[in-house]
Amino acid sequence: MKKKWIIAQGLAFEEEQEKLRLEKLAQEGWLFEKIALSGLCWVLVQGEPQFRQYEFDYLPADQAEQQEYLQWMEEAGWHLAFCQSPIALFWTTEKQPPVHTDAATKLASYAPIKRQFKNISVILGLLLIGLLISGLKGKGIALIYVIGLVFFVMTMMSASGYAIRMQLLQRQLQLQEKIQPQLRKQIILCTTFAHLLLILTALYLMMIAYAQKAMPVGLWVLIALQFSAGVVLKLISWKQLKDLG
Amino acid sequence: MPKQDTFETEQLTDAAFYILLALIEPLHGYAIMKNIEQMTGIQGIIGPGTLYTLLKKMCTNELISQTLLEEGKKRYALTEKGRTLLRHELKRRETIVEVARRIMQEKGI
Repeated sequence: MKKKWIIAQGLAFEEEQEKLRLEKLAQEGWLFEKIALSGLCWVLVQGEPQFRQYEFDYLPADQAEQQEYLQWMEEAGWHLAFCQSPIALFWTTEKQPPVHTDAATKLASYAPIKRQFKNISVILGLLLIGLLISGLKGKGIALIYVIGLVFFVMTMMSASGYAIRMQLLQRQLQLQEKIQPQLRKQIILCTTFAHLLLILTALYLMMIAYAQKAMPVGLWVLIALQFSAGVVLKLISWKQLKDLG
Repeated sequence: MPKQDTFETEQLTDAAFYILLALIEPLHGYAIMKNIEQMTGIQGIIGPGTLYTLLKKMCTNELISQTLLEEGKKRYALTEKGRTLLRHELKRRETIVEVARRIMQEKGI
């Protein structure tokens, strides 16, 4: 059987687009089989072209409740495609209403995944700072530092993405009207990149302060540029949020 | 962020209202969904994720109670507190409709 690997987009930013992409691929005969590389890739298997509705959902934190929820979804006609707690992907061959028809419960469903990413990124951040202060040097340490930084950035951006999703749903509940998907995506990306640039600036400054060496002017200019870009993005996203009402 | 697990200070959403209405007769999970679809005539008015979350929240707030059935399923039923809230909510909704009807009749809409 033919298989195809596709790179997953970050769910924190592209949840709706990923769902549509999987549905389109199913119509072309590429059916979701499993995740690979800890969720960085989707593995698809070739089959009959068919209608499939997919939906990403987040399971409750409690183990017993998770089992109950999966059974509940199966009864409602939603099959589990994969589960990497708390993320779950469900599918069905019949047109079904969305899993969450209410903004308030959708909002609540994001809480465990946001908390998980936030905790991991805080721990990674603290470990990175600890490593810096420890004064350990060498090629191995530098490699650990780079890998740690990559994971820190990924988890931090995901936590930020989910936090903004929750904020937007909260706003939607207050305004009693839906936020356009395009605008929502813009706000999520804009805010997340702003947070990333600002946090990286803080990290660089800490590293420079710790190194206690004179840095070339070029580096300062780069840091200043990065900081300004972060501030500008943050202002744009703040304005977009404010314009919502 | 406002409290996620209380019904005390907020008005019931349509979904929560229909769930309480359906549970005047004790039902298990899937039957609640079917019952609400039948009584409103709208397919898929409440998604399974929303129903699950709201039932949990209502149990915590003692608006409904749950009993474990033999097959591991749970049956839910309205409590006295839930009954009171349902009556209160019906009154609130009736007031809205009455006001709207009066104004619209006066303005000839």
